[in-house]
Amino acid sequence: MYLFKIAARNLFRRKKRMFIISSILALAVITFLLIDSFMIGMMDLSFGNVIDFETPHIEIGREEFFIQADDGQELPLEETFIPEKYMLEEIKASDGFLAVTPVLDFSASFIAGREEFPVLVRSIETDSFGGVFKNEDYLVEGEFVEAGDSGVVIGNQMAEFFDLEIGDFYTLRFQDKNGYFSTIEGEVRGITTTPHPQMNMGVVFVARDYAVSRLGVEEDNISQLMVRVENRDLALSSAQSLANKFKNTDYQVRSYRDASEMLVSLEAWGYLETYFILALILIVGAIGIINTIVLSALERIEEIGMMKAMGLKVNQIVRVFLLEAAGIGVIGGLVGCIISALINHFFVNYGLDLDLYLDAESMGLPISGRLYGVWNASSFLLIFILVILIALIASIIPSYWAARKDPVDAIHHR
Amino acid sequence: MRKKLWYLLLIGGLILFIGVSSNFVLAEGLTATEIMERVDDNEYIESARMEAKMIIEDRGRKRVNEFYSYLQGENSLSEFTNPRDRGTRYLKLGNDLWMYFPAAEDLVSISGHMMRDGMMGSDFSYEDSVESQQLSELYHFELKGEEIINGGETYVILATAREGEDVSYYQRKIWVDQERFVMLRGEYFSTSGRLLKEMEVKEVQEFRDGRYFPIEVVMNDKLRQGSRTTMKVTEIDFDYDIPEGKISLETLN
Repeated sequence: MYLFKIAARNLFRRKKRMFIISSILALAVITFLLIDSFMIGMMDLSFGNVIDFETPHIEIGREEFFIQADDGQELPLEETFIPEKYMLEEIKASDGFLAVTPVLDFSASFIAGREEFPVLVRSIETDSFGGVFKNEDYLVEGEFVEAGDSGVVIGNQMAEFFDLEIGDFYTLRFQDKNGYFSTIEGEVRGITTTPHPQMNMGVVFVARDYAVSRLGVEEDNISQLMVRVENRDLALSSAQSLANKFKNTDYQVRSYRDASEMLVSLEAWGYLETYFILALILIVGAIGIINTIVLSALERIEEIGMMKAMGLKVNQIVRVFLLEAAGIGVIGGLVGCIISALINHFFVNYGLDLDLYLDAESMGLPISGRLYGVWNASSFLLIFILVILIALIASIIPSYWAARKDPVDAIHHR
Repeated sequence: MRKKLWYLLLIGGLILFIGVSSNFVLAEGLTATEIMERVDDNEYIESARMEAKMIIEDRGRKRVNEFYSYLQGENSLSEFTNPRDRGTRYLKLGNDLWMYFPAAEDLVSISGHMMRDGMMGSDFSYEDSVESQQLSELYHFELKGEEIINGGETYVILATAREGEDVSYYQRKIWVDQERFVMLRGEYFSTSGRLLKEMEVKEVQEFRDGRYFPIEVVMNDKLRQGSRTTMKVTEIDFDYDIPEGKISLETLN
């Protein structure tokens, strides 16, 4: 307690210096916590959009289909399949199961007027699609696809690009299972605006029973079974459990994370970047702390000599300096956490208009519109402890340097 | 006498029935397949060096691309010579297609959705350019009748893709000149029977060995409004002795 009192008194003897070093540490804390909140919010939203509009919690299809799809090749119609009864039973029995829907995805060129654009056509079972995906909720014009209908639903960006309105004529040109050119034609039935930019430009929805007749595949063929479960954590465990069940078959079970490899890599890079920035600021902070301890040791060299002459051991003097450094860490950490919490409060409640600050689409992120921050208590705790630790570690060597001064030399310093 | 007449009628009827039912309707003694084999004799290129112009008309704009090609069976190498595309090369080896951009010194393999796109923005798709086999190897033929085009008599033949053959169009309707055995017109259909493309031959030239070859062809992609492409052969040397290794990836680079 005695040493603690000395450390506390010393801490406030040079208020300006203490304020500058604490501010650097607080800046490190604020930067880290805000980037962390932004990153988590962005990845949360990205994965949420992938799950709601592109690939749900779990998808099951033939391995070769996924290989070619991930490779950016034309989706292979020869890798479609008729789902077996046992598969559906296993899926329905999985943890947290909510809904399943079959889809038949294929590659085509969307043609309207004089323009042509490569798209992914998702032929859907209209009855069950809404249980897994949320595209229908984002319909801004017209109606959603109905069974047997030749109409398609497209995204708003595609409608703008082709200058299409409800009732306008379209043609989809593609190669069927036998490699022959085939077409699907009809009217634009609906237009959606989703927060997933790729779905607004590159994907077209059509009724499966209408599309299948032109694809040269059997009536019940599908490319994937799409499954929604209660939450993302359950999705990972259920996907693993289903993968074990379908281990010796031609089918591959993928979770939303497996299907979004690019997003997962981006997430890892994002965190790496955050920690790199944090490390840089903390290094600056650590240098500041070393400087503070050295300066305060030089200023108090006679005091140190006196303390040693009065019988204080080296370890006790070191402890005084360590407590002083830890104090700077606590002040910097606390101030940083409080300011971060205040800023994050606005970030969480009001968000940031992404389109104003960065082009998320060009970065390959499936998000657009407003991005909201996230409260992450573990990050607050982690950075607070880390800042104190860095302050302590940075002060060890200068503290020993100060404490090892000869008391006679120290007293006769001048 | 009456019995003989019955026999004659019966034999005549049988010949007609067999002819109609098996699509072996005789046209100057030729079957649909034989007609198309004679078309292949004229139009299939074993080996040649060709110079041509590709005139693309789209949305009221006109663009002329000039190129020369070395053709050898299913392989070919083409290089564009007009200022805008000078040095752009295409290499076709069997069913594989590559493109070389001189400005970027970049080699691109053309696959996936690009194969459906128009070659250099024309009405000829890359997929069209890959099909270079003899038509008689790829399709079954059915003689549908005769029609007059530009004052000349033609056979109207329906070509249906042979199972297992790598062709892009399930059916084609072909008008063949009865005298010169070249295609004068063609309609390309999807599996659902939709007309995808229309081809019309504007000029046919007779070459030294009595071979007829279309030197001006207009292709019209029926799915793209207001576009058409004219291919004009300005010079062609059949049976050109192409140096070994000329049509290869090494040359393309």
